[in-house]
This record gives sequence, structure tokens and C-alpha cells, in this order.
Amino acid sequence: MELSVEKIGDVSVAVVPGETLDAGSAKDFKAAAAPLLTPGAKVIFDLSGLRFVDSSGLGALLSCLRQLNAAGGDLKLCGTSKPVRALFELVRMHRVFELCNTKEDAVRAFGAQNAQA
Amino acid sequence: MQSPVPKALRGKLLKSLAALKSVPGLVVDVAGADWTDTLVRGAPLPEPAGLSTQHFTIEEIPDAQLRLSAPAGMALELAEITVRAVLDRLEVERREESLLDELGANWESLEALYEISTDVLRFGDVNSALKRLIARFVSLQEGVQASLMLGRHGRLEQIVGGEAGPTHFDWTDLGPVETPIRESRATVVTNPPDWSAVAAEIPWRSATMLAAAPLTSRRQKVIGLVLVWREDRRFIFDAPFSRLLEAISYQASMLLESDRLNRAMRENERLAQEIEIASSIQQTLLMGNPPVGVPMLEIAACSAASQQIDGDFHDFLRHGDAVDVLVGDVMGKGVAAALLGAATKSQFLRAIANLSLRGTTPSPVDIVRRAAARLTMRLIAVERFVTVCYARFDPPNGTLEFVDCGHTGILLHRKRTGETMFLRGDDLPLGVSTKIDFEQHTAAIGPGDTFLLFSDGVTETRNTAGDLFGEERLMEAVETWSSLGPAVLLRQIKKVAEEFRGAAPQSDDFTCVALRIRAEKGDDIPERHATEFSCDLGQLETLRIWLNKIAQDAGVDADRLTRLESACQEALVNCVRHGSPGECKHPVYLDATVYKTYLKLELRHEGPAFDPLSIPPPSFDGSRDGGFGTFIIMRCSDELQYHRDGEMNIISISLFRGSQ
Repeated sequence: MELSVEKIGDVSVAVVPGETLDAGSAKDFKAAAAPLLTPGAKVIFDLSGLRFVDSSGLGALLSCLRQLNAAGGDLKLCGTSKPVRALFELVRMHRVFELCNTKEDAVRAFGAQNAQA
Repeated sequence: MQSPVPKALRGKLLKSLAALKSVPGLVVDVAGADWTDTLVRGAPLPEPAGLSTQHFTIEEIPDAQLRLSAPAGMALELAEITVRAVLDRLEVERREESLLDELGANWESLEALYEISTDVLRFGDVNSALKRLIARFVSLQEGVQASLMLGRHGRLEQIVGGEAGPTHFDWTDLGPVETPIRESRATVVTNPPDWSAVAAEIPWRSATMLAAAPLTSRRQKVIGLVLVWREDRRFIFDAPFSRLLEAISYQASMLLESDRLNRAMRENERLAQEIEIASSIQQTLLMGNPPVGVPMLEIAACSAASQQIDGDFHDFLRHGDAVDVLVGDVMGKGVAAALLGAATKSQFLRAIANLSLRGTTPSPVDIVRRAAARLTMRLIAVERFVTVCYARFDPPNGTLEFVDCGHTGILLHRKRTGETMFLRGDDLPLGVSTKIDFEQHTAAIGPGDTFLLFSDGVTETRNTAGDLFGEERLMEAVETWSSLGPAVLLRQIKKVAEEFRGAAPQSDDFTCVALRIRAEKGDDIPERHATEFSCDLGQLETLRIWLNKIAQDAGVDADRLTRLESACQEALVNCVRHGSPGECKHPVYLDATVYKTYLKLELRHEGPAFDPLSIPPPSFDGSRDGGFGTFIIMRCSDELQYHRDGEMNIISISLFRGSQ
């Protein structure tokens, strides 16, 4: 799996490819995302192509979030479709991840954090 | 077992028979019943020649035979119809009478026990309390004699009964009653042996029938007995009578126990022992048994007494396919609260029995009103109050009717819409005000609804930091486990509440009743689909495509489809990951059945046992990656079942097809 990464200022926006992030693809996704998880990195995962996420996919995203948070970085998610959002809410991960509607919203949210800091 | 005909009813029977005697040519012959001497006396008449004859056995009258004989068919037929009608009516009246007697006696004796226990605590005179108890019992049936004896130093000491005669007996003086009592069984003996060989002057030597029930200690050891007998055969000791005798013996045991505790109190043992009494009261008198086999309804109940019991109670009544649930909680703690709980419950049962005599099922509000009318002043007099919720679940009619008098409300989780809510009324607890007008509320209910009735001990469970378990955690528990059915749900609620409490003490009774309305199978012919997948993660996409096709054809909406996909995906991943160690070679078999209102999926896979409840719950703060799979399966299914068949794990997931 390869992530297409766009750099907007100091924020890396990675598009998660395919329609599903699940037990079949989570391992590949973690390997592909690893280079982005550097100390202090600001990362956005664009999930707008995903139609289905399962517990393994969720676990992979959580693992990225924890690695970034542990090294002073942060992760935001954007473009969650209705079924994906429903799963996040079911397991209450909408309280753990910052979910933004669009890529632009997510970039702005990082900007606002910088302005506050 | 037969029971005696009450005097009033004998009168009616005799009158009807006497009227028949005036029918020309009809011979009425009643033999064997000694009170029918106004009709025919002595041995039965010989069979009249040339007459048609009809024999009746009269179930209500032991040993009696009724014979009608007439020359022509018509008169005999008429007489037969008349007699049958009379007997039918007698049977109904006898049942009503005995039901009322039994309920009345229970209430009286509970009240007596409550008063007497208070007396015992005050004056410490257990013997006079026992005398009053036995006197009340004896007064229920004319001609009964009774003796209460306690085992002391290998003999029996008579505590109640036989004022003039001897006070001590040998166990062998009990004759045929000895063995059952020593084995802690109640017994009825209708043909006692000849007592003339017994040397002692025993009061029951002229008995024609005997009944006895053991008195037991809290360790179930036999400490004595209550013996009752008659010297005539006018009444038979029947099943309701034996039950009453057992109830009275149980209460006498508790009085003795309470007296013993009273002494122990002075030795600082009071608390621990009172709990034991109260728990035994709780288990025997306060808690009902959920009915089984009600179509469309699954019901479970659980209760755990706290160290200081606080009088939670519940009971169930089935009316056809509808079930009434009564739950309540008495203010205050200890034996007094437990007894008051039992008395309240019995008052409700009595109200239901009385109102049912009108021939229609009384409404919840009528029942509450009737019970409150009898209870309120008594409760005010003893400065106690009781919270009560009376609910009638009627799945065929799609209704829930309830009256909520200051209880905790009914928690409802609706699988079809995902909503969770509380249904509450705002009437005051019984014993707070003299007003006995109540409001009955109605809610629409349907398949996939789970209801929880509970005592405040559940939500007020405290942990060591002093936080309350609260309604929100309870709602979450219902949302998570209701798919597995009421019994599992209650086990899980108890488990999470206990985990939450940790080392903190349990300060209140913990009582829960859960009900679920099952999906209707309907009379439609279900549509079945079957497939199998090799056990590998690459098959997930294929599974979802297969499912999508079936669900879309069945008209399942998008939100439900997502839930179905999620649940099945997680179940399949479980099979692959945990199905068998090393490489998994067994295929996963999948069946999908489309019913009128719901869709059922069954996954079968050979592998080591997998129990979804053994998986620890996920952490919702993002600190752990795993543990969500099982949670997702439980939350996304409307009904979920797991079982094992040989080496196979079978998981079945049901989902309603729409929210209506």
C-alpha cells in the first residue's frame, strides 16, 4: 500500500487508499504510514475514499495517534463517510480522534492550534 | 387431594338435590357423606329395577356417591344437567374460597409475624408469640388440634398445645410422622396406626388423620415440629392446608430463630445473624419466579441481598400472553423492612385475586389502587413507605401499561431505533400520602425492545471513591449486552456493577428484572442463502459483497446494512484469528435467512471454544488498539446468540429489516 502525501505548510495530508480499512489491510496501512510518524509531526489522514472500517482498521488509526501523541505530534482525521462515522461513534472514538469534515477544516484546525500556542 | 365442602356450599348442594326429589319417578340417592342425612341415610339403596341410572362421583365430597335413577330418559337427563351445573358452580366457588383463604391467611400470618416479631424483640417472650401464631392457624379450620414441639435432650418438649396432658414425648410417639420429620419433610397421614400399644398418654391417640411440618434452624437442622390432627373425617388435610402448615412452621422457625438471635444480640452477633434471616426471607418471600414459555417474551430476574437487607421485592403474573411485573422497595433496612416487603407483595396478590373474581383482568391502576387502599394507612401508622412499579407487558397488543409510585422507572432500549430512554410516572410512594389516586401510563412496545426494572441499589452502587454507578452506566450496559438476551444482560450488569464497586461494601439490595420482546417468526416462508468462505482475511471483501446483495434485496436500510456488515466482518475475523492455532484450514459456513421482519445470519466454524463474554471490554480512551471486535458484534446485532455444537462455534446474528 502506498499513501499519497501532500504537504500543506508543516502539515502532512495523507490520503488513505481503497474503500476499506480492515483486518485485511490494516497491517499494510500501518507500514505505509510509519514514515509519517516522526517526532512533532502534524498529520491528517484523509478518509474520504473509505466506505468501511472495522475494529482492526480502527486499531491501526489508534496506534498512529498514540505514536504521534507520544512524540509531541498530532493526528486529525477528515472526510469520514456516514458508515465510517457511525462506527467511530459506536465505539466512542469520535471523542478520542479529532474528526474534521474536510481536509481544509483539518489544516485550519492545526493553524488555530499554532495561533493559540 | 380432596378438600372439604364449606358449610355454605353444602347447603346449596342439598337444596338443589332436595328440589330434584320432587321430580316424579326420580330417585336421588346420596351415600357415604355423613352430613346428607336429610336426604338419604345409611347404606346405598339397591339398584332400582327397570330404571335408567346415572352415577356421579362428587369430587368435593370425599367418599360420597350420588345416584340418580328414573324410568324415562327425559327426567334423568334434566336431573343430570341440574346436578352437573350445581357441581360445576360448587367447584368454582370452592376454588375461589380456598384461594382467598390462602391469601388471607398468608396476609394475616405475615401481619401476625410482623407484630409478634416486634413483641419478641420488646418482651423476649417467644413462647407466647408461638402460641398466638398456632392459635391463629388452628382457627382457620374447625376441629383441628395442634401441638408445637421442640427437640431437647433426645426427647420432644411440647411448647404449644395440650395444656393438661404431659409436656414431654418420645420421638417414637410420633408414629408414622417421625421419619419424614427427622428427614425435614412435611407429611400428611390419613390412616394413622392403632396407638393403643403406645404407653404414653399422647394427645393425638384418637386422631383420624395427622399432618406435620418440621421446624428448622438456619442451618437447615430439624429442631422440632408442628403437629396437627383431627379426630373426625369431616375435612381432609389437602394441598392448600399442607402449604399453610408449612408456611406456619416456617414462620415459627423464624420466630424461634429471631428469639435465638435476640439473645445472641447481647453477645454482639446481632448484625450478621439478622442478615441471614433477612436473606432467607428475601429469597423465599420477597422474590418471585419469572414465567417461562411466554411467546414473544423472555424474562430474567436477579437479586443480591446487601449486608443490611432493605426489603426489595418482585413478582410476576401471567395473563395469557401478557405478563405483569411488580417490583418494589421498602424504606428502611433489616428484618422489619423485609417483612413489610413481603406483606406489601401479598397485599398486591390479594388485590389481584379479589379483582379477578369479577371475571375480567384488572388494569394495573385498579390493582395499585386496591392494594394502596389496604396498605396506605398501615404504612403511615408504622411510619414507613414503599416504592412500587406495576407494569403489564402485552406484546401481542404492542402495549406496556404501568403505574410508577416513586420507583426507579423502566429503562427501555429499542433495538429497532437504537434509542435508550426511561419511562417514568410521577406518583408518590405508598405510605407517603393518603391520596390513593394513581396515573396509569401506556407506551407502545415491539420486537427488539429490552426493558429493565431495578431497585435504587443498582444505580446507587458506590465505588471506593464514593462515586455512584449511575443511570448512564446502566444505560450503556443495556445497550451493550441486550442483544444477548435478559439472562446474560443481568449477569453482565451485576458483573460490571461489582467491578465498579471494587472493595467498597454493598450497602443496598441489588435487584433487577429484565424483559425482551422477541422478533416474531411469523407465518411467512423464510428465504435462505448459504455459502462458505475459506478461513483467510482476503475473503472479507467477498463476504461483504455477498451480504450486501442479500440485505439490499431484503430492503434493509443503509444504516442497518452497515451494522450487519460490521457485525459479520468482526465475527469472521474472529474465526480467522482465534479459530484455530497456526494455519486455519476449516472453512467458515455462512447461512443467511430472510424472515418477514428480520434477517438472521449464522456463522459456523470449527475451532477452539470462543465465548464473546470472556473478552475484556475495550478501553474507550484510545489507550489500547484491540478489544473492539466483540463489542462491535454485540452492539451491532439486534439479537446475538453464541453456542457450541461439538467442535463447532456457532454465532447467530439477527437484525430487524427496518425500524418499524
